[in-house]
Amino acid sequence: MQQQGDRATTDPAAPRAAVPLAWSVASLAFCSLYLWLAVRPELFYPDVGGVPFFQWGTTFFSDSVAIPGGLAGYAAALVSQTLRSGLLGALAVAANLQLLGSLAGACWRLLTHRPGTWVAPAITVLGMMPFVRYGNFLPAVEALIAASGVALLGARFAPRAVGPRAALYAAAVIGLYQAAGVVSLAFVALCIGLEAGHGSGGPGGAGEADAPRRVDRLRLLPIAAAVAAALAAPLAVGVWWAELTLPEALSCGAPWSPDRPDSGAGWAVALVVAFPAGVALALLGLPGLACRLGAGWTARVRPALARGMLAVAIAATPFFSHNRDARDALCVLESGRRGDWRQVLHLASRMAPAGYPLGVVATVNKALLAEGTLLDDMFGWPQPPGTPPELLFQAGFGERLRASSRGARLAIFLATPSLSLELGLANEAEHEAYEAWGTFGPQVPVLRQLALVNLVKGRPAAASVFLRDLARCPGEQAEARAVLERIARDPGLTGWPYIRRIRSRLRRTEEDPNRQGFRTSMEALVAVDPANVAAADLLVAEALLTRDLDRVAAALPRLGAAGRRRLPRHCHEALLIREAHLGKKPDLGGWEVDAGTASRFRTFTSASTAALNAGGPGAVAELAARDYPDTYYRYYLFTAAGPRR
Amino acid sequence: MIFATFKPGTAPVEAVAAAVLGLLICGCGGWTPGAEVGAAGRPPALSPDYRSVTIPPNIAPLNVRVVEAGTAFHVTLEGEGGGALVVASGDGNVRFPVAPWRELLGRNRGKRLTLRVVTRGADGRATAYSPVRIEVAREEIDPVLVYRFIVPHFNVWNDIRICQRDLTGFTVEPVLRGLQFGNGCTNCHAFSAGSPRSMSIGTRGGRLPGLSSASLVLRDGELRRVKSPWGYTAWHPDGRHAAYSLNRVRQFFHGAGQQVPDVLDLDSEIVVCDVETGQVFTSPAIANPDRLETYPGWSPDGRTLYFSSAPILWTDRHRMIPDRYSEVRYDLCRVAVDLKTRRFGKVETVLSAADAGGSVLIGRVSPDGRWLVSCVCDYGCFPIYRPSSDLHLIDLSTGARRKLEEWSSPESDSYHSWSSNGRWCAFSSKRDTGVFTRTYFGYFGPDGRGAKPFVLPQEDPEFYDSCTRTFTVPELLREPIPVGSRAFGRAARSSAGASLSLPATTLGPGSAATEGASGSSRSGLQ
Repeated sequence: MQQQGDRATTDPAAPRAAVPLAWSVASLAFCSLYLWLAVRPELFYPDVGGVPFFQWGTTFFSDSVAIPGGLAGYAAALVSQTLRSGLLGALAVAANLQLLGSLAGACWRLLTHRPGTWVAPAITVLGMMPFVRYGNFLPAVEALIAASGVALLGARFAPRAVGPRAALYAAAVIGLYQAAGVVSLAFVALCIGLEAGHGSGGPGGAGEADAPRRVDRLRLLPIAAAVAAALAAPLAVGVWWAELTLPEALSCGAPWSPDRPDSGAGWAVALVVAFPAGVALALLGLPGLACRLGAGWTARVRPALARGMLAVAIAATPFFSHNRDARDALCVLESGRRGDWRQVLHLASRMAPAGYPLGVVATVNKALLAEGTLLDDMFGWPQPPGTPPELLFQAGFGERLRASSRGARLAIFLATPSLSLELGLANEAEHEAYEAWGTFGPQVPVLRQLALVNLVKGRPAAASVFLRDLARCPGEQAEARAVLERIARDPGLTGWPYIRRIRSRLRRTEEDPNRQGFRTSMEALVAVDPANVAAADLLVAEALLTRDLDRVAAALPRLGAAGRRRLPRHCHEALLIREAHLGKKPDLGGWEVDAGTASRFRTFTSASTAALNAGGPGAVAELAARDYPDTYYRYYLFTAAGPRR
Repeated sequence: MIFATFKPGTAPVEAVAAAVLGLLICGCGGWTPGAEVGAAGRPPALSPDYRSVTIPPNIAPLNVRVVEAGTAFHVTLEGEGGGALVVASGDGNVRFPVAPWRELLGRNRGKRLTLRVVTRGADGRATAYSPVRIEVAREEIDPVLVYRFIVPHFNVWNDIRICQRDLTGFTVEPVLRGLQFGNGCTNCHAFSAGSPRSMSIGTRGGRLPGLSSASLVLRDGELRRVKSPWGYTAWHPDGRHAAYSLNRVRQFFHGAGQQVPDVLDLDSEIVVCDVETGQVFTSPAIANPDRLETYPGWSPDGRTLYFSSAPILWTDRHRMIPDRYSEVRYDLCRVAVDLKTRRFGKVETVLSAADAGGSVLIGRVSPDGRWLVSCVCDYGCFPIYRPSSDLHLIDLSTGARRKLEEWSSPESDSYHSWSSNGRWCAFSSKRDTGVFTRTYFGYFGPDGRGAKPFVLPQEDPEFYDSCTRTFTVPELLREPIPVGSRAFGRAARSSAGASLSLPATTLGPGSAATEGASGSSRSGLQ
């Protein structure tokens, strides 16, 4: 059976030729559907690097291809633009994986002279693994496509003479390194395969397999040339020519670059390693192994069984390796990016609170702020203790850059539109955009934010520069052009309600530049516009987070001035604590209060006293977590918050 | 007028044709206005605005975009001294071919060019705009511009570049890129009297481990790395000595107002380095512990050192932002220096902050020694971040001073560099957008009058419309830098290098202020 299958390539019978095609169509369909419906390519967008920056034009192209791996990176960035649209992105990624699988299958056939019907679909499906881990490793995929494509061309067109072939291999390795980076050096494995005496179909041409052994020895020269070029390429092209450091030269275009987010890196490495490993397996003649096992029935059944199990295992791999935590977090960020705050809260409520990245915390807080329930519900959600408020709310001067977790820092930075500008902190918004630019290079959200900031600040000429630059990014042209036309019609943008609203609340004073901080900024904002309810809420929220009860009490008039009539629950709880602990009775005149809040606090007080007597502080913490998880008094006592029940 | 079909990239053929015909022609197969042409009654809007500017006879073509509605554009550039270029365009972008352009300018040194624009509207009607005058000076500008290419403001840097541009064409070459040494920062390039034979560039390490701030010093073809970072640097005309500042720089950010970043020196002083011996010396005249001295600049004869100096208004030199930072105003001072004996004369105030009505910075003397141009801004030491900054002119022979209104704008006009013949200045200006610094060139007549400046021409007329990086620290050179980018990159990556023994001053070795003292500002210079 195996032998029949193996001879399929030499048998031109139509039914047999249709099998690989069917497998390819099936794997392409499977990948497309899984990526589209389960992975959801649009979720790559809010993650930094998920959709790499790309611009039409010669400047971006020439800057990209100047560095090793740049051409593959450019192609990957271009293909990645489709990720914004779920279906198109899924099709594009699946098509690239399919192309890689087909080329790998062709290499397999060339090396082993066996049909390897399963190779192309297996590579296609397994190639999804980095993507189901939410890592965009299209540069590595493009590099492998280039490597296998060049290998196939070499097999077809390389000269028979050993010397020129060696030179060609060396040149191809150098060229591939420059174009596609270090991953493309997988080409060397293919060269070895082609030269290792596996066949008459190799570059040596028909009949060479039957040639004396000295011919095989001669083939060591092209192999040596390819290996030497692979060893030299990072040094010669990367370090010497492109002036990279050695670590940079060894990681250019590779998924193990230190600049990559952690997500999926291991899978990508596995993918890259699996490719040459597959070649090595082919060299070892693994497919023929079953044929050598003997004539027993088990030997006849085992290969078919193994193939069936392998197909199931391969198909199931993406499902089991799917990083659903990352998907849920990215769903929250994506909803926040679209300003769908209810959806943010809905999706976040389904996540395990322990797994909340800082970006999700900030997005949830922004959703609560937008829904007007921040001071009622914020402690029903995780609020990591000790985190600066500008990080928790994604607003304020660039402190977020110094957040400890790089992943959180990345996610929080560019995931959702800036709250700073919305609040009226134009300078902070401008500063954070430039910091993002300096840290991550140009990004679409950066250009968009800088355009908006300059519009708000009454600098339409500067905004136009950013907008024209933005218009060169795929998918951004229509919006950028629309704003440019708007500027042309009304340079002052007095007729644009959004701009008018932000301008009316812009921070105008700066008492002391030494006192740059979240609280100072919010105080300045409510001084300009007492009706800036978001700033007033954030001012009180900051006092709650820092457990400064006197400031909570002192800030209540701000809430009143911002139009609030009902005392928010957490403020009420803070005042109850203040009264109970410090004996300071609050003046609640004029506020609508919820009697249930006071009654619940009294219940907690008596229950916690009993718990303290029975089991000490640990018992109180347990009680608070179990029965009062969303209360401010739990946060006040234990700096723990959420989840809401 | 004769028209010929013109294909892009066939400039040599055109030049030959022009020579044969005795008339410079750049035609196209596009639209030609007929007899019926209406008059707009005003000049056309152009981008960049090259209307009524004065240009050097060796400048690159002023490629321009006609910002008028139309479906076809017919542009004629005629020289008073003969010759004409004719360009037709479908989108308003007008690119003059280089060779005929040079020929046209060569014929019209000291004469006037007239730019005529005719557009065809959507209704097919032709409209002629009032002619635009462009004056061609007799005197050439130094043909090389070195500048820094960076994002408008930064705290964290990415891909900083120092580039050199051939001003007679459009060729740009990198001198040093931050990416060449682990995405490091590069700044403070300085040259000796418009020559790259003695020059320096400051570097700050990026991701490369163990790479500290340094200066790359090129002298007579030999490139060396000096482990001491130099701040604002002025090379002596002898090419052997360099005066540079040591600055304790503080960058901070305003929460309100148009300008976000700001820079101040908590402390600063000037030292002089003899690069031949590696010795560094100074004097209380330029390193007064009670004052901030910065922005050194030599007189053309090398006997006088100009610098800016301000009293230190705070006692706590380690406070993040001193209380009275916005009251710091620098005087422009000078001191006689004898480099042989290393003696300094008595400090003289050339222009006090009180008289200037602001902080006087970056005094640079014209090559003939008669004129001095400086920046004057409301406070501080960083005029690029001060929209109030304007260029002021002092006649050193009479002491007369005036604001260079001809070059001024409501936005920041700052860092300037003289051409070696003293007839041109390159300077930084944010006049177009208030955000993006561009390099402008202004003609400076023998009578001390300036002409309307023009922005550095680009091959693509729409270049500046979407260029989100800035051109800063413009320096004019008589010849290109003789050492390639690769050599600078190697030197920047190297951890080797000579150490300089700094004198024991406030910012010298062993002082409490040494930590964090940096010759190079972390922020973007002018």
